Amino acid sequence: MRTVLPALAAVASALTAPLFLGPYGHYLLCMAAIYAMVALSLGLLLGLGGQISIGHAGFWAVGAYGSAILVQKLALPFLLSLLASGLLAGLVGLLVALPALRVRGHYLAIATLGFSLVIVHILYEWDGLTGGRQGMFVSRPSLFGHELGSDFQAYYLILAVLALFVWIVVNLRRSLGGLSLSALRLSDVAAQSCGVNRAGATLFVFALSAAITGVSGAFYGAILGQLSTDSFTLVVSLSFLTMAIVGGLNSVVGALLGGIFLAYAPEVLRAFEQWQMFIYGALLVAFMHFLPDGLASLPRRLARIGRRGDA
Amino acid sequence: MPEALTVRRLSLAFSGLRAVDDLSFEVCEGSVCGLIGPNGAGKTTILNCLTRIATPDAGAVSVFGEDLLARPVHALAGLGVMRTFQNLELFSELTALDNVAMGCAAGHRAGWAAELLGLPAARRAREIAYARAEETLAALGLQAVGDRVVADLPFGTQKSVELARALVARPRLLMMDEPAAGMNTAESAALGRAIRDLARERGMTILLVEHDMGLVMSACDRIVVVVQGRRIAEGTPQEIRADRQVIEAYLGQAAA
Ligand SMILES: Nc1ncnc2c1ncn2[C@@H]1O[C@H](COP(=O)(O)OP(=O)(O)OP(=O)(O)O)[C@@H](O)[C@H]1O
Ligand SMILES: [Mg+2]
Repeated sequence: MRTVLPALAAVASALTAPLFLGPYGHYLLCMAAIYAMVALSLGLLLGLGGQISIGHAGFWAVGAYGSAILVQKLALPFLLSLLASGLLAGLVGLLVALPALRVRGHYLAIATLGFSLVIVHILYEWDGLTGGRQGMFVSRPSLFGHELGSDFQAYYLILAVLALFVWIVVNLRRSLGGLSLSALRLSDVAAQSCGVNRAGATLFVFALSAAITGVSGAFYGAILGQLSTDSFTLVVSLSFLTMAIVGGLNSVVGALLGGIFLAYAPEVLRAFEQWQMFIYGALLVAFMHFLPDGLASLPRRLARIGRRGDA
Repeated sequence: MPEALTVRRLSLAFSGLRAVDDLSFEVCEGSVCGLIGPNGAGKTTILNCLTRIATPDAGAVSVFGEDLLARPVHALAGLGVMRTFQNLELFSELTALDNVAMGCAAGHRAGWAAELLGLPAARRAREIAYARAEETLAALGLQAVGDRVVADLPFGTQKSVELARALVARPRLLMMDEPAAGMNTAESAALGRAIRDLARERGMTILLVEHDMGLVMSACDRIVVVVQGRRIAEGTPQEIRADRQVIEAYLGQAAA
């Protein structure tokens, strides 16, 4: 009961929110759902798997350009391009996971960062395919041949795909596979002695995380209507990490809160444009220090403080 | 009786220090073998080699006739080899029940795809693993701590949880690294009886690293003594107790 009621309330507000908003509000909702997918994927990788990535903007770019190119140049239906961009980003995720089999911590962070810089550089240079520095136009998302011309319509498709990812992640977290990933994070020696294949599990969690982020990227390009490599910088990777940690790495609720945070933060921070990077960094550090389980853990925290106050 | 574990000419050096030095011994199926020696003798390193956590420089190990060194560390659970650790290796943020369920999770898993889709096979696998974990915790009298995070439990209870995690897999070969450390005499006597029961009633083969000589002498069928990575003696508890070399190198100092 305690989780069912809030979940129903969340679903109801996600479904009805657009009715009370204008086009710009619809656009922000789309962005929140798109970001929430990335937060969900980072929760899997970092929260459950204990593997750091500061290169998720790279997977996002693979998905965004992959889908755009498939739709634009090969006239693939948008839904199929979503699937393809997920698979493509997942495959790239496998490649990036290879160093994770050998190194962790700072080294892995640098390896994932290096990967995303290389990806963005390739996309920039390959102007025959990507438009290079001019960037490229991207068609609107479509569903069975019907163009979703407004963000109001697109939002419901994004929400449906987000719900699918939430369902997958909840299933995984509740399964013995999810338990094995946790075990590996907490003691890889003991986990392996219990029969967990470390290489297999690491490759899997990287690929899945990258695939989810890739699909998110495909939506991002289609909602924005254009792509340039400026959208996939280190700052973006860092803002992804910030959102995932601010929301909370260890729950689906945290991912959703993180997505909302990153969609609306620029609205609030617009006046401080050049300070954005600094503010994200400061938030990241502050949350890791004072609220390591993110906003999602706030109700539990407050309840505990309340109880202590009563006693 | 057939041999459960055969170790042949095992060696491992850490930058010149010979932690394991040309060591050979075997353990019969269903017996309890003690592995003793002074601090730094190489006992934990030997267990690490026998569980594929460390890779020896030379030598051969076979478990139930299988060449162990040809297998990766995660394949051992499937061969029926489980262990405990001297400095606890629990999954600290998880509950005691989660920890124990992990001991048999790999054998039941339905695969990533089934788990992502939440298929009945994945759900059943989880139910079976957790049911077994509850059963094992109860058998060790630990049912009350099942939902506690292990990091919050007292050291002795943590050790028991780690033992439960190894036992839940119903191993054929169990290796324990100083299970009695920190126990009082009564607790260590109870542990000794439990170890004997595992061997006699379930036919489990046990390799026991331990400094508590009371426990080793009462629980073991045979004992291997190592000093500086070398085997200096091997025999029944009576033989080992009477061995002049062992008394000089280890027992004398342990008694002092
Ligand atoms: N990873 C390592 N790197 C370098 N030296 C090591 C390593 N592990 C163990 N040693 C050394 O190898 C020797 C054997 O250590 P080991 O831990 O196996 O001894 P032990 O018999 O288990 O001792 P204790 O009874 O204190 O647990 C020691 O001298 C130790 O310092
Ligand atoms: Mg030791």
